[in-house]
Amino acid sequence: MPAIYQTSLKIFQRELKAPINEKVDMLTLYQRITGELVFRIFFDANLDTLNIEGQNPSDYLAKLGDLLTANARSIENTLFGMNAIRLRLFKRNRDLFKYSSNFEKFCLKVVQDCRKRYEEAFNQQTQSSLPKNLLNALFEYQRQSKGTEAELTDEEIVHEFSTFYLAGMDTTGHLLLMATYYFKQQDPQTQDRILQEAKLIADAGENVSGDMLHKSTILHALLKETLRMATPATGVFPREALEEHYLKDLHIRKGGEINCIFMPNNLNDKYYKDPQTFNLYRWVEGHQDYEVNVTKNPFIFTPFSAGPRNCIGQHLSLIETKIVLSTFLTNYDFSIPDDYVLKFKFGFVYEPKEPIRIDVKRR
Amino acid sequence: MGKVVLVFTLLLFINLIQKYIRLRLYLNSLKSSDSVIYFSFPLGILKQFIENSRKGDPQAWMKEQIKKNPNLRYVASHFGTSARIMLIDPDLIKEFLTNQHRYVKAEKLFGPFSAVLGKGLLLSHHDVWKRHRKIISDVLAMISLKHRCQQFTKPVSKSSSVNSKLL
Repeated sequence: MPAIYQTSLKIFQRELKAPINEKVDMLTLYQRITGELVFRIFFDANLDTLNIEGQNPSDYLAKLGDLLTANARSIENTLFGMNAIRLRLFKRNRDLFKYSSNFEKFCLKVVQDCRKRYEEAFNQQTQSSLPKNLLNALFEYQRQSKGTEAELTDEEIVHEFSTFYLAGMDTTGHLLLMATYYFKQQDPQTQDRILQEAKLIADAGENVSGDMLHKSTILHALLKETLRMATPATGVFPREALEEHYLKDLHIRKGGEINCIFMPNNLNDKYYKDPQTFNLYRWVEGHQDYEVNVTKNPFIFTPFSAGPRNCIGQHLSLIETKIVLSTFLTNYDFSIPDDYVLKFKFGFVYEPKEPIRIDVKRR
Repeated sequence: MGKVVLVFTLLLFINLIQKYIRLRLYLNSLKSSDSVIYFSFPLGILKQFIENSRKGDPQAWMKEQIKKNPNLRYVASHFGTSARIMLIDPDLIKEFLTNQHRYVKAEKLFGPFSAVLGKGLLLSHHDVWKRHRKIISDVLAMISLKHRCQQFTKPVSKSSSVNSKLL
């Protein structure tokens, strides 16, 4: 938690230097923070000195995320599969290969550098002094599993690195963005209540505790309602059935594709009162608007999916969001242009169609 | 040569039409009062996503369906020639998400992703996924423990001074 606080403060300070004359693209700013956090927390590495083609690696990855989805949901992929994308007929196809290849080289370089440190420590028998992070854990597992059936390949390690970087940066970045947007839509009294909780967290700084985050009920409700109205992950990645079977009474044929989609339940008036309205108090226990029925069934509201393949980083994501958002709201005041109209698109996640550029000033 | 190409193209076309007919029959077999069947040659549900994205919300059609019928349990449609069932009912979702051994991640859609993420936690399955999940769960537990320990061992400082020093 201290790392989250320090990193967000450092980046806000770097990117929002007074006087701030231009509008700020909040998504880019938040993704730089969440990208840096993934690096610090999971790889004990620093993004400051790195770049891909002269760009901030997190900006580059955000673009790659959009390209991955644009190609996956393209007409050529839907009708003819990956072979059609390989023909590189469209700009999105060519960009995908260019961005993927550069990103892959970047990942390989970071992984190789970390591996070098791991191997040096291992050769000098000082591996216990190595930071306990994801890459070191994967290297250690690979060493121990060498020659067995469960051997971890180099490719698996690089893909795990990319997965954590992309998933950790993009989804949390979008949750932060949308929570910031919805904060501004609240009445002054609710904004004030959120700010009071945010101030407690930001003032605690490096000493922020899990208990303090747990007690920030209004802030937590803001995030839950944001996830209900504009969840970044609108469903799970589709699965292919290995054999013919029945899901309850539903016949699934072998090879059929299935997924679950979360948005219809989030907006179903069978579960929520006035579901089209953003009302964070529906998540506040004891409040008259509290939706007791939703909390009884964990498969109605599933922004992080559910079951054994749920989002492994969900708790970390909420911790990050609370600390970063509190740091921002406490130190900066902002406004969203009056003529901004929220529309959505599918980038890597479900996200605003037009960037949210805001006017920011120090409080 | 020209004839060979013509015959080959014709066979491909017949094969494609057969696939769509089988798809249509399968989707029709899933029809019920609490479902929506959406068939549209050739793209399927992608057509809705594209049209709705232009209007400003790729989810608009889905949102409309649940408004029309709050008891909707699933939408059966297709992406090209592949049938796609989208679950909505919490009981179906539960059954699906807790029985993942029956499935693998759909390769066709994820071709573009596989070069970058294919063997990672998000897209891997079965044994590879289990192995990765175990390693990562242990790392997350370790990170969480490390930070909790730091929390206990750290001297309590005046929070406001920490804030002003860094800003």
